[in-house]
Amino acid sequence: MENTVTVTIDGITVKVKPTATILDAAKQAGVRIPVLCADDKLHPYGSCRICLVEIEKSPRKFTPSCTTPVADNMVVKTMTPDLFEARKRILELLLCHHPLDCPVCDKAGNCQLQDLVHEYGLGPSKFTEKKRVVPPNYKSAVIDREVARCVLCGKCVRVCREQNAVGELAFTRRGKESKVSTDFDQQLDCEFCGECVEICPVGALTTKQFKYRGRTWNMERTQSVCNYCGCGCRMVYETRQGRIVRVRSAARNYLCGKGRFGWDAVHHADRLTTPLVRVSGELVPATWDEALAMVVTNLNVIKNKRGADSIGGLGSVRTTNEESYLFQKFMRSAIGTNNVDMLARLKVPKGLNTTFFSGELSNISGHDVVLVLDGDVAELNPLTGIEIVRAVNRNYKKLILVNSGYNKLNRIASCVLEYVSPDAALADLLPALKSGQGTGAVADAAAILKEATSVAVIIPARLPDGTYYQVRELLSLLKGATTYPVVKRSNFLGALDMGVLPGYYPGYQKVSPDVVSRFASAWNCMLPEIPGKNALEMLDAIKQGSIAALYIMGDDPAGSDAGLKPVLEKLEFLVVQDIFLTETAKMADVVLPAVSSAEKAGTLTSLERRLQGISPAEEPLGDAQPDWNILQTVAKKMGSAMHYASPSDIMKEIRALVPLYADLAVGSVWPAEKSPLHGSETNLSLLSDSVEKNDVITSERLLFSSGTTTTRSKELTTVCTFKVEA
Amino acid sequence: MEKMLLKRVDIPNANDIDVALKHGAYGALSAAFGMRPVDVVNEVKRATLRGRGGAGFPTGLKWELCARVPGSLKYLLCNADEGEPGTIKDRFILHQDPHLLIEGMVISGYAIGAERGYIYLRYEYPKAIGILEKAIEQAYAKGYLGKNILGKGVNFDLSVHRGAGAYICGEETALIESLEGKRGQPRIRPPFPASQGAWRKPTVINNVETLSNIPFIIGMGGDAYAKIGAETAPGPKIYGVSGHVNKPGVYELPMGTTLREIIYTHCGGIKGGKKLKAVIPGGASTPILTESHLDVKMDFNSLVAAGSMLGSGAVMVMDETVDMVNVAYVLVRFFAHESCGKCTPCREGTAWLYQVYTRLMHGEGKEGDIDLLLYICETVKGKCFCPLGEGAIQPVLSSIKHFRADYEARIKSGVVSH
Repeated sequence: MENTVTVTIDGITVKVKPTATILDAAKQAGVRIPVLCADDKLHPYGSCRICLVEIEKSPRKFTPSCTTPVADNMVVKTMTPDLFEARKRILELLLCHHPLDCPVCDKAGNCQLQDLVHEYGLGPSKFTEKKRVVPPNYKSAVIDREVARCVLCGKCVRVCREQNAVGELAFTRRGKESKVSTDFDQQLDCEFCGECVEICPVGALTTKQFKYRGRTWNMERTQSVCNYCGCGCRMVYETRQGRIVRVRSAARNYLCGKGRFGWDAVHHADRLTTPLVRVSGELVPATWDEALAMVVTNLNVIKNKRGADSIGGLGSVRTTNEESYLFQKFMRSAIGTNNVDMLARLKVPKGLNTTFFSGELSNISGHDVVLVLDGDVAELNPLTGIEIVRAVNRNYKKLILVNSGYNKLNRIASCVLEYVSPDAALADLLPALKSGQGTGAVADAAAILKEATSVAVIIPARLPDGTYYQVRELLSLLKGATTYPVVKRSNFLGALDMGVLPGYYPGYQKVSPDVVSRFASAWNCMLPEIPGKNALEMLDAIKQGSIAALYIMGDDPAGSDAGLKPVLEKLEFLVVQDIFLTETAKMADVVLPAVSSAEKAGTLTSLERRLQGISPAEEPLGDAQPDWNILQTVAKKMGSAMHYASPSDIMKEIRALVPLYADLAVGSVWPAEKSPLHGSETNLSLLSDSVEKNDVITSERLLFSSGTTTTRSKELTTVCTFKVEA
Repeated sequence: MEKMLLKRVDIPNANDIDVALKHGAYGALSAAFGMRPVDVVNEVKRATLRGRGGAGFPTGLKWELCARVPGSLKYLLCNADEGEPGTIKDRFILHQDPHLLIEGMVISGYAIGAERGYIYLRYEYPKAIGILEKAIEQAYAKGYLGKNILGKGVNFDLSVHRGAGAYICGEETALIESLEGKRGQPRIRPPFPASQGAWRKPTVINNVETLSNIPFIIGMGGDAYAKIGAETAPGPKIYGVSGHVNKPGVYELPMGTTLREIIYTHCGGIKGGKKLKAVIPGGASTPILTESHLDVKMDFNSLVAAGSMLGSGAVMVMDETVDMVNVAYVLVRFFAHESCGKCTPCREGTAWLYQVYTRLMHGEGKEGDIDLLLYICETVKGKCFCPLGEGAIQPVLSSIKHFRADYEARIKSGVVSH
């Protein structure tokens, strides 16, 4: 290691960077120094004074380790009788006005103050004066503030400003009157990510959702992955008696409001618990046998009468890789058609996973400059937003933002291009980059970009043809550009990888005689040789009557676009697998109840192309079954041989047939160059200048909105209409 | 000694630039501009000027540290947040002779390479803001501020920033935070302001009185200046004397004048011929002294040797009728009120002290309260983020040390006072 200094901590000598603090050096030496206000996510602050240490030959008796940089040959002691006494005294001060309400505090058992008081063995306090009484603040949605318990470490204030760039919390007043508050003590009006609750070392910030729901030591924990947007944040379900009571971020990662609080949708009363079949116009509960018999009979009749290509399948962005794989296999082998696609392809940028492969999100903060072409990125992919903020607030990098409105990124941007759309901004920025034309913000942005040796480019979720070519030109003009496309839905990439595409088998293997024969022999069946219809073509075919039956797994076309209702009404037969009775399910002939991602195992592929595993935290609700099992049961009844005992059996088959996944370990990213479509002109988006798919206009804030599921989260519906920012 | 710093203070309307110019204002500018910036710094180093704000840091060294940092954007901040209880010295310069300060700042800015200066003025000096703004406007009009000063290619812009009424903002890093529009709380050092101060740029922060010395150092030369007063910290010093003396006021005397001379020669002794009981030599956060300390020289090193500090040179004199519990109570109340609340020991410790003193004042003192007060002071000591907390325990420790009897009597009698 070049440029290091040598420090001795409690007799252990380590070499550390000269910019390291004593606390950093102690961590490296494996020595624990107790802390309250220090956190790896934040800049040092030095307020709690618990982390005091003694430095040999220092004029000061005690030195705070979290804020003091190391010096060469520094000799540090982290525990002496004096230090023990000093920390004990600090704890005594912290307890002066701290209510000892641990028996009813949600933080008990997980409270750093409680642990330290226990460790330092505090007895009766010399403090016998009157305790301050500070009332709690229950005004806000989602989050309660038990002000009296606060130790004023400032972590919530700092995480909200430094990590989130929101700054909803701040200190008000001073001295003993100091408190963490909102503007004029109003209710919270923020992103409701709950990071403040997570980082609070005591019980000063708690969630309404978890209040009195359980003690931390009674909880079972299940590692999983959030299934809302494409970021794929790792998280932990905490369950008590088989029911989820709380979701927390795994290993102190970030979670947004959807990830942390939106899980309660799985307990919503609208969950489907039994199959439904249409009897004289009405959907009525049925047994699995009845429902499946109806599915199989109708599909067989239509297939025999009108051919396999008169049946279409629409897959989901929420189901696991295994389920998506099985869905296309079911459509191709059991039904015998390549008519398999996803309507979500209307909501991704052109060039995704052909021209624009995402870099790893954790690398964003390492670039010299972050160029954000989609002002909504922090709402659509909150983790991407957090990494952009980290680049600026933690690493002092520059941010160029294209945004006609105002949001948190405006607050930290070095340069804001106020254009209504990225194409208008690029129309001015490209000439400025090429020949130095341009004035004002455009000239500033061009100057910043020219100086940069590496640039992170955030690709917008909507990218019309014209803009696509502009972005490609932009990338050719930048040094060291890495793209980070916005991907709204969680397992969109996984579904693409798994071949829920009419023209491609899993792993982007084009429907061709070679590929078809390879899969036919692996699957031991006959397979169709011509590419199928894409989702839009299927809708047209339904209108024209050439598609008579549709099998939908986990999507709600009628719910996201009411204009599709009359189209779906033309179908002879509609099967829907879902967890809720969606608008589309209400039109179905058979509704098959699936389980949510909290009740099943499998893998998801994030927008970084990272393979991650989810695990069941609860038993399936009622008679609901995982999508993969429903599919294989239907397939079996239609005469296909599918015998999977678990999702891992399916993954084995995927690894054998999909080179991209052959040796892709869970937790790793598949390399972009390995994709057969890498650098090709293939467009995996269905969006083009001739097809403009507009999102449903809702009053919901994008940050809290993720379609069908979020609308059934009690917590999210309390905050979803909070305004963004004026 | 002939008055230097307060020379123009007694002249009517000396805060008007025309009057000030008649009496020598801005006379040192052209001499300073004739020197290289590094030579100006060296002159101040030769003068061994030490900061007059309280800490007594060598001014020349502070400048040198900042001047050496590469980069063109630097700031010069004048600390006019004269908040230490008892301190009134800077106000006289701000009200009566602002041009002396402006002249000192232009020279300092030239020396360290800063073209932008701010005067951070305490909120409680409402009169000073108008005077300073008018003085700055006049200085701009006459070409002593702005671009190309005296045609020598020196640029210096200056404006006044009014604080929001917090003692802590007299601490230099809290002052910077406040100037930047943030909450007035001290910052982590390092980085020190000389390398990363206001807006993360190299910054020098000097007290009003310190900066006002600069024109004289340039005028008479560092060597001549260094011969004035105490050897370890030469120069004139403004002492602000308040309390039970016959002639309270502001006195400019050579650094190192004895306490006895200040009280008995210049201030006319104790009011009503009473006996002196206690003296606070340098503002509220400096330990209290007694009659036995009267021959201490009022300079940085001598006062430290005597167990106190020069601080801001605000001498508070108390006669024999004063109950030191009352004094400590008032000072503790001040510190508990002014603690910024950032670090645990200062926030909780001062509040606890205040609760105990409030009890004492209400006649509810208990056996063991003296030990309790010492326990709290020990709890706070050496653990605070900034000097505020360390200063807050000084009145308690020194009043118990020298006047324990006052406490014992108070606890025993249970007298209520207001």
